[in-house]
Amino acid sequence: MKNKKMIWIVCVCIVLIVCGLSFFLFKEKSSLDKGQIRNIKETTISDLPSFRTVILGDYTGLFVNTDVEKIKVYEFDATVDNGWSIEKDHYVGIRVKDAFEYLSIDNYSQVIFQSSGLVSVIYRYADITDDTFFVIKKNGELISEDVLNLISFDKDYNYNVEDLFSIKVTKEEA
Amino acid sequence: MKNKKTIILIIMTILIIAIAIGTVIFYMKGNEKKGSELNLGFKEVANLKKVSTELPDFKIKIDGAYVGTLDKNLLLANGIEVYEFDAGIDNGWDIVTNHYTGVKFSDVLDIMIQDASFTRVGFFSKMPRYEMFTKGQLTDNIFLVFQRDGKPIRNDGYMTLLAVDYKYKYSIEDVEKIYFWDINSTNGESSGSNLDNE
Repeated sequence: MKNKKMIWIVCVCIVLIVCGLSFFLFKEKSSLDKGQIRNIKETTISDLPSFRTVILGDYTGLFVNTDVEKIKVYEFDATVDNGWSIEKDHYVGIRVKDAFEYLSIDNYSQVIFQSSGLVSVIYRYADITDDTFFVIKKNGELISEDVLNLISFDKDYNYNVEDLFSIKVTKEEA
Repeated sequence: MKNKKTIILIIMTILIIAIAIGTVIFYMKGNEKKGSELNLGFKEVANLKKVSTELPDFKIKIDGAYVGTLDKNLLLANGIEVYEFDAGIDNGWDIVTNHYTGVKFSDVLDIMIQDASFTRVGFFSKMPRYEMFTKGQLTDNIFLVFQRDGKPIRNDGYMTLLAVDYKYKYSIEDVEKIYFWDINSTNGESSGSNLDNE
């Protein structure tokens, strides 16, 4: 009788532990849904990459690291699906919308972000959202020493541009 | 005696729990690493072999200095070889090894434009993304692949440009158009090309 009780207690313990473990693992996985920005807050950044991004097309100019001092910088946790896995990292960056406002780029229908490796991604006006960032740091380290990187956390990874070289802006036709 | 039994029971319980946890972890790790038993370095290609895998139906528009359509029929009619291989790709987070199936882009070029001249070639994705390569950047490790670990990388009916010698950001998924530039000749000196001049 006592043995039976003991076996029951052991079985219940095993079931509880396995259930607890499964719940923990499941929770961990579901918290890594792609396209999520969490814990966003304003921050400051002192060690900027020495980037010089060329603005082309209907607006011309240069976007350089000293411009960042005049734009709000954010830090946040975000998930990115890189095509193999969903990665959660801590980023520091600026919103593309804020950068465009600072650069007085306000009337555009299309923007082509081109990397130094000649990869180009075309964004229409509506594609640039609050989740579109020029990212500077990932997990406390500069992503690059001399360029910006573009990530749209609400979009497919094919919208991301590493080693940003130029931004070609096309004005909306009147 | 009873104490001994209890101790054995406790040890057994701990062992069973440890085995259960170990199995769960092993299963999860196995899922994560599926298809990557090999650990190749970045730019490495291994186990390249010709296979008889059937090419999927696909269509890529050719534009620029040469115009036409690249499809399964054109490649098959010209005896294209299909390859399987393992490749180490830097996806920006990790270097991952996967098993790919596809055709060599240099073979495709031979069929499409043979020895006709061009200076640059652009690959346009169905997504709003494109990439340009100069002729010199087209290494032997550039493929048009249609499977990664036995599954389409993205959409059925599309090829992905896989540039093994470059980071994955230089690869273009769901290639919709290939554009040729030939700054040396406005007529694209085609000699026996399977495409038309502009």
